[in-house]
Amino acid sequence: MVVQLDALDAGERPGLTGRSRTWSLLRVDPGWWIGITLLAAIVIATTLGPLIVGRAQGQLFRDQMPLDGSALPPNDMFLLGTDRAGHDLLSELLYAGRATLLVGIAANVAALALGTLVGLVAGYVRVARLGPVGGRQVTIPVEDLLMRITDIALAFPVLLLAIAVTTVVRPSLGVVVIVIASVLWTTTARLVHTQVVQVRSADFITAAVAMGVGQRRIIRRHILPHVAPLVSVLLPLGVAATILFEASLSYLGAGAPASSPTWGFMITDGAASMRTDPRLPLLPGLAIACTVLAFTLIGDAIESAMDPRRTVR
Amino acid sequence: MAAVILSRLRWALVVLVAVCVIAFLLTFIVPTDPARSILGSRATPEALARVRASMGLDRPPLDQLLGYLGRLLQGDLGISYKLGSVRVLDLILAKLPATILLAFAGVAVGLSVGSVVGVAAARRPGGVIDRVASIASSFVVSLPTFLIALVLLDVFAARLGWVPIRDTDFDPLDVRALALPAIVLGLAVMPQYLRVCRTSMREQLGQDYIRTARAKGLSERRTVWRHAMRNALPTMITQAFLDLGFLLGGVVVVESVFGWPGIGRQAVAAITSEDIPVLMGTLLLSTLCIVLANLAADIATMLLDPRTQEWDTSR
Repeated sequence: MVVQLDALDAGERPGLTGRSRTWSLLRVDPGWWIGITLLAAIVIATTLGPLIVGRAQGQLFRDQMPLDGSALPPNDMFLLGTDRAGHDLLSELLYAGRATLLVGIAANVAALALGTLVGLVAGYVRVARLGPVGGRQVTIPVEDLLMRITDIALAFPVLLLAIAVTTVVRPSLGVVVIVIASVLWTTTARLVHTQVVQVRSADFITAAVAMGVGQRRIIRRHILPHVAPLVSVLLPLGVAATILFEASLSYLGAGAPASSPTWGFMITDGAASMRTDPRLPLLPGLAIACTVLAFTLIGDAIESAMDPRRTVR
Repeated sequence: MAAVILSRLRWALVVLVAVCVIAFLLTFIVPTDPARSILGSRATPEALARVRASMGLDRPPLDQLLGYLGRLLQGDLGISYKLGSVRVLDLILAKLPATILLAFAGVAVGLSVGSVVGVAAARRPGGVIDRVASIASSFVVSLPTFLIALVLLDVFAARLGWVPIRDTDFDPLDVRALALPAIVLGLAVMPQYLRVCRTSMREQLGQDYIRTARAKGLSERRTVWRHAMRNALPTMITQAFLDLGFLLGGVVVVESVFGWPGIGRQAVAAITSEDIPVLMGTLLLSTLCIVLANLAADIATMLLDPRTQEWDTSR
């Protein structure tokens, strides 16, 4: 008997489902821990770092600068040296980190919210029957309409469109967030829609409808739990994609303004000194790489932990 | 199959018209006066009014939109605001070959590297190649493409002098000039081919027909490349078509870094100089490429994988 129980324990534990299952898979995933540690370090450094270094954003040290217009190398006063204009590179990096994370997270949360809403409504509502207007029943094919709009938005060359918009509107971090969110919601909408379509014809939904459960409750209690895993994967992966997208926008001159630079802006700003002083473009590049890597590792870990084919050991 | 293609074509037309309308609306949001863009800031009010009238800018917006769509049907994308009386279509067609060359070269690099490494990784999951490939591709996808481009440009062009540094008048057919942009573009698209190839190859290599092929004594190379690869290929081809469609619409970032004379860089330049017709034309062409590539990907999947031919035609 004991042997049998042991064998059962070593294999799949049928009792472990949902959050506890995901968590027990995540806990043994080294990628998850590396990602979380890296992200925590970046967040702590960018929030508390500027306070410790104690220099204001954009503070210039012109009197310390060499006369030939080059940047100061790392020294006792400036741990990472200065840029060519005379900013302390370390504090600039930390402040830019705040802006980068802010844009990345805000734009992605907005894009996810919009995409999830569109996908959910399209998948579940399908056709809206309005009351009789002028004696005729009016129906709106919500699903077709929303998904066709998504298709059109997906076919748009997003980068060109984003540059076009940011040149029309005076760029600020808020504008950049709105622009990125308005071009990146489409993939979420499509994925969520596919997920809802798979769930909506399930027996438990039919049963719930037959029992007279209200639409809101069905969406909240029966549909959303099936969409949540997808969204929790898209959240970290989307932040990674958004940060890279903002960097490209910055390089093309349509990203964050010079008054609140992001890492992408700093790379672009330092690109001219790649030859003479590679520190200037490469340090913000390294910062982006670490941040994107952290979010990607976390997203991948969540995705594989939620894979129903995996067994808990 | 014809019915599927026809319904897709119909849908493609709807998308294109929608994009035309949106692109046209952009011109109303842009706070620049086309007449002033053409004549410059020192033009007299009379001259401005004359240009506006000749361009039909004094007519109601809907009239202008219909006129624009009508001219589009005749292949007329309008005239550049900045470059005198140059037709936008000619401008785009002049730059298109360079973009096509770069897009194909980039996808070829990404596809070949991705599939060779992907197959090697799938044959020994968790082995050295698999691990190195996975670490290397997470590193590549974590870096902004333009930073990779800037570093390679610095190392190979500025320091080693192996490739020409951005020339204004280089020949796009010069392989040395093409190498770096194609490698950067290839690196940017490679990780997804690697991922797709590894996943589908692993799936195929576990199938019964592979065991049969091995059991009847086929060489390992033949089993992997002729039998398994044939079944893993459709997903990669589909991905390649989608990428091509996206890239043909302008390889904006890579073209900008390397000064590659393609339509992406031209469009960015058009945005900064407020040359709206050129931007609109490029937007339309990009969308056309994406839509056609989606169609081509669907058709390719149907041709390569007979199981998908009985598709739902109701869409």
